Amino acid sequence: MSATAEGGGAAHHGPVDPLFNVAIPGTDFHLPIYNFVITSWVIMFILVFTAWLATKNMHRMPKGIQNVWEYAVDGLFSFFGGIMGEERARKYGPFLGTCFLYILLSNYSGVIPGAAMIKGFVPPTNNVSITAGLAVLVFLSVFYFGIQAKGIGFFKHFFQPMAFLFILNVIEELVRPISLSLRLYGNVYGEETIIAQLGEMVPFLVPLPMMVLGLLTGAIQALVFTLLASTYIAGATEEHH
Amino acid sequence: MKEDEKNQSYKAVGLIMSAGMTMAVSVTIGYFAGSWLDKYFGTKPWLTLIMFILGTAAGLKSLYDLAFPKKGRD
Repeated sequence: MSATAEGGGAAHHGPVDPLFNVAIPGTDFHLPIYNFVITSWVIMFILVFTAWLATKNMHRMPKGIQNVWEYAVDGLFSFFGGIMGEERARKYGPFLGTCFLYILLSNYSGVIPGAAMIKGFVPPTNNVSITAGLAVLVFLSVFYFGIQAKGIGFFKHFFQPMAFLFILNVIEELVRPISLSLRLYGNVYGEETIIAQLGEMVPFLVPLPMMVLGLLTGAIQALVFTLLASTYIAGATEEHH
Repeated sequence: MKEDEKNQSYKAVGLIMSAGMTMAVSVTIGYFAGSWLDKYFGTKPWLTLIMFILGTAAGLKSLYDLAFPKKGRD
């Protein structure tokens, strides 16, 4: 229903032909545009467009799309507030919340009928390059926010609680983006593959329980990713008194 | 208050679900980094062994850091 074995497999595994190439002016280089990039653009457009719609004419008593967005933003900010405190949640919440909504929509896009069968429609988080990109973004933002908050003192945490733990701290720091990206990719890919295989065997009704489970795991994985990102950022920007 | 409790349980679920992958990746990265270094320096099997142990230790440390964030320790 959501992905055939061929469609799903070819769309995100092994050598895939790009949908089209964009020539970079002044160079010989052609930027390949893949299926999942198109879906990613659509998701970005949906997020930006609905956010614009919700905020262009705001009312004191929210209704319609403004209500939906206020509910989402309020819920996310209170969640991040529980991890890093109200003040820092306001500061870093927009970045973390955007990650959450993007991953959530990406995961859910795989449950829409036609995903991986229509050209240019593959859940982006089903591809390790997208999840790796997100993880690298979190990795860099931890350094950026950390240095912004504490200056050069940020690097002190590599020698804490004891100096000889430096090498462990470095390994820990490097493992973070890899585990973040593999966790998200593995879960989404695994779930999509099971649905595809079940759909191959019995196309009707049987994959349905798996798809319902997919809705749950999609939300949980988006939550886990942003939760970890927020604990990393909280750790990097923590003020010691 | 109720909202707070709900958020805390989401947080607990997320942390528990992330623990397995963190540990697995740490050990694997340690092992592969060690075997690459061994090939590079020709010191087989010592660096593999050392990096494997360091990877495992780093995995345990990151689990500890996840379970007891700095805020709680100060």
